[in-house]
Amino acid sequence: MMRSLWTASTGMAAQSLNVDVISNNIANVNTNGFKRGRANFQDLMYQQIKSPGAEASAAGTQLPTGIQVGLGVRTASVDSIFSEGSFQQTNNPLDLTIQGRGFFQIQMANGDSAYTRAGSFSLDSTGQIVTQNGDLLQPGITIPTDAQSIQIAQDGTVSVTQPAGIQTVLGQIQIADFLNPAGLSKLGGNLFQPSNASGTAVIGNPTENGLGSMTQGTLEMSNVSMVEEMVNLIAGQRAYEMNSKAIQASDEMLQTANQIKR
Amino acid sequence: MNLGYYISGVASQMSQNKMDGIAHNLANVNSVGYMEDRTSFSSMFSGKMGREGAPDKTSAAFLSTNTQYVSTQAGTIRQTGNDLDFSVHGDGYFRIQMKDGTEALTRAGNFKLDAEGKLLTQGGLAVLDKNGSPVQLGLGKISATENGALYVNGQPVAELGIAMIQDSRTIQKIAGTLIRTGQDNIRPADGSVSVHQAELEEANVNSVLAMTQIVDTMRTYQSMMKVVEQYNQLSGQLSDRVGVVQG
Repeated sequence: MMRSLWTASTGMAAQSLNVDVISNNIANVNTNGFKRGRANFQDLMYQQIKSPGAEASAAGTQLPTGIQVGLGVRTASVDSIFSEGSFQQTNNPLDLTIQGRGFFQIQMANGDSAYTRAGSFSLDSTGQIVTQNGDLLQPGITIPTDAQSIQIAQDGTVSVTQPAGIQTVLGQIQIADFLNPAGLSKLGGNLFQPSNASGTAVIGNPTENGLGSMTQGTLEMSNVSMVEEMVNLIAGQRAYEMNSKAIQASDEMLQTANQIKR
Repeated sequence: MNLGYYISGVASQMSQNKMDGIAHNLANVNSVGYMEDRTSFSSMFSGKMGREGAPDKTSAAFLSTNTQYVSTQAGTIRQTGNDLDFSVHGDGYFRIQMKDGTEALTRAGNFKLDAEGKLLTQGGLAVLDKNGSPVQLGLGKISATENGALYVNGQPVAELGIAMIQDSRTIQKIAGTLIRTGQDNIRPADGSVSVHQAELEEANVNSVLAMTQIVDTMRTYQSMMKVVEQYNQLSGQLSDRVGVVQG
């Protein structure tokens, strides 16, 4: 049978995955701290029919070029693009952003560490700083009940103003950086988990050693660009269609062959 | 048997081969740095039709796939904003180290890092620097200049190895958007080549042309098949009619 049938079907499968990734990006266009995904494709192996440099005649002449038939496409990876999203002013004292490199450290309910760029925190009933899912921000900081206002400095220092204007420093929010953030695995709920590819977390104070600075009262929005995703969606869908046309054409050719003998 | 059967049969086989190539190009229309395959045909004289030693006066030509070449035209450049995306402007290629230690080249600059900070292709192969050793980056913000120098947090760490190909006809493609050619065919990039960060080169497949080629190839195939069909009718008539006593 014709190779083109299977070649084009790898193309359709790849484009369908591409559209899946794009749809997830579009769905998360308003998710704080979301990092968009991107599907990377590579060509599949080649079937060697004539290799270049092979002997072309008994006189010893050589073929300058060969014949190779490609067998389609495969998905090499779906990676996360860690470009910074734009910042939104919220004036909520527990909305934090990291401008530059770094992740907030989160302790999940099962005790494992996770990392996030989504800095919309709240307080729980005991005054601890938690994510919207109730997971604890690490290192843990407890805000006293009589605090009138919370200030978080660029270097992550948390201080509160208590009655009679007393300023108390409660601690410092440390952030983590990874050698290869794109190697982090996505857990859902805006969380990332280290993998073998990401390297281990390097913990540090904000603004030190190349880490970003912390800003209070702002939120990092999703880094999905709607226009770019729409264009990618069109390109993906059309590529899908073209591959289906290649299948159709191959099918018609086979049909023609079948009709010779009636 | 009539030789024409086989001439048209082989010709339609060649159309099928061409279709395979087009389908491969279309499957890779969204593969970063993919270079299009082109197929050209030539006629090939058939072997002697008569017996060995007998004078051969027939001229029958078979169609054969003559060459297949890789189009090295530049693809469209797309801005991505990702620090690990690079594109080469001009006739240059990134140098890649294969698993067996040999070198390959690619136009696909959508690189990634591993846990130790080594720069890799999406297929997990090391990207080489100017001196032929793998590019090692550190923790921090990565930036690049147009001559391929890489900086981490403003400190120079490595320089991307960019190569140029003398004769692009001898390119051989291998899986993973990589190409290979003889070492003597490669030379270091000159001033006409520049590297740009946060950009990617898309596949150079012209999808409109590819769709036209699909139609063209399909119709060629169908007309070749028509010829086979005519031969079939001729042979049918030969066996049905000849020798039939009329009246």
